[in-house]
Amino acid sequence: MSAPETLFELRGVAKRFRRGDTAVAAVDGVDLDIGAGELVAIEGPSGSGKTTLLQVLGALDRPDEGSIRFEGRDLAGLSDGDLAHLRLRAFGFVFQQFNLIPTLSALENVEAVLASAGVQGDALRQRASALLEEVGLGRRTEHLPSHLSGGEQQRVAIARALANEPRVILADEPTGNLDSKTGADVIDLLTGLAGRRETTVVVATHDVALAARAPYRVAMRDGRIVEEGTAGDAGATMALP
Amino acid sequence: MLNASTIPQPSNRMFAAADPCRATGVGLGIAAAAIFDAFGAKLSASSPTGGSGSNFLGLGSATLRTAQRTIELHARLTIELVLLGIGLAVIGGLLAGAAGGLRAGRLRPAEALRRVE
Repeated sequence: MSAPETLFELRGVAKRFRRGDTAVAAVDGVDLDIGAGELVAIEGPSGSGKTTLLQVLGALDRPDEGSIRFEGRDLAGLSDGDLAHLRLRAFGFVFQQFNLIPTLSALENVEAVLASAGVQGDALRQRASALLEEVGLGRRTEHLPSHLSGGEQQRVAIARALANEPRVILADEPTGNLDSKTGADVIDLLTGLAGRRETTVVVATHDVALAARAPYRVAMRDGRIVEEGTAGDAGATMALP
Repeated sequence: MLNASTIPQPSNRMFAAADPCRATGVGLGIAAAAIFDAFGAKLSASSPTGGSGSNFLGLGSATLRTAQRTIELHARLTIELVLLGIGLAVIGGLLAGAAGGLRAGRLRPAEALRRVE
């Protein structure tokens, strides 16, 4: 892959978890380059290591082996505080379970990440409202997550992920808790908004058809990349809408 | 990543929801104190103070005497008491909140996410 600018550069990345007496490698020697502005799908069944890979990409976890460079910087050289700063400013996360704060309204959930990045006063409310408007929730901003449908909650999560204008959106099974129609809408929304902003998107999914729609697809099995290629390659037949 | 000063101020909605509860609690407390104070309560206790005689159990002893003591209980609402109550509640709340917050803050992000899901 020869993108104009390499955003992520992974070499020999491994992450192990202890299960009883044995160590299980969730990610087992992954080499991967992701270019700026790309839309990449990581496809694999549950337990194939895609969530763990996404977590080390997003600096939520550190690998046991190998190196991750983000914009040329080795993440191993950064302190926990630096990583927190990177997550706040450079990464946006979307999860299968939405992970909204249940006691805050849709608007406040978006405001929380803006406020963490130092946005204050009128700008806080205005930017949060504009983001919710953009994801199509202009009129339900005062509702608590429990009073929103799954699709609506994921829209709030997308607004939150985009709030601090990240360079990358990392989405872990974003459609996993949604019906297929709602899921397709959410994916279209996410890729549309990210495309307009030239934000890189990495989506982990077990859904082969969904993964096939991404311009670049990475297939994982048992912690290893078993196949990768562009939409034109074999196994990736559907074009992005 | 989140620190106290950057967490958005809770909107009025959150206080509005809590207000009736808080007002009810304060009202009930004052009313209960007033009722208690009006009717009062008396604690009385009596205890044998010992007797004379050779019977060490004191049974059947005609010389056994009893001490009587009565305490009247009041619930007077003073400003000191109100401030003490508020102070204890605030300190307790801060300590409990800080303990939970510190524990949550020490979790590694990936570990914290596993607990949510």
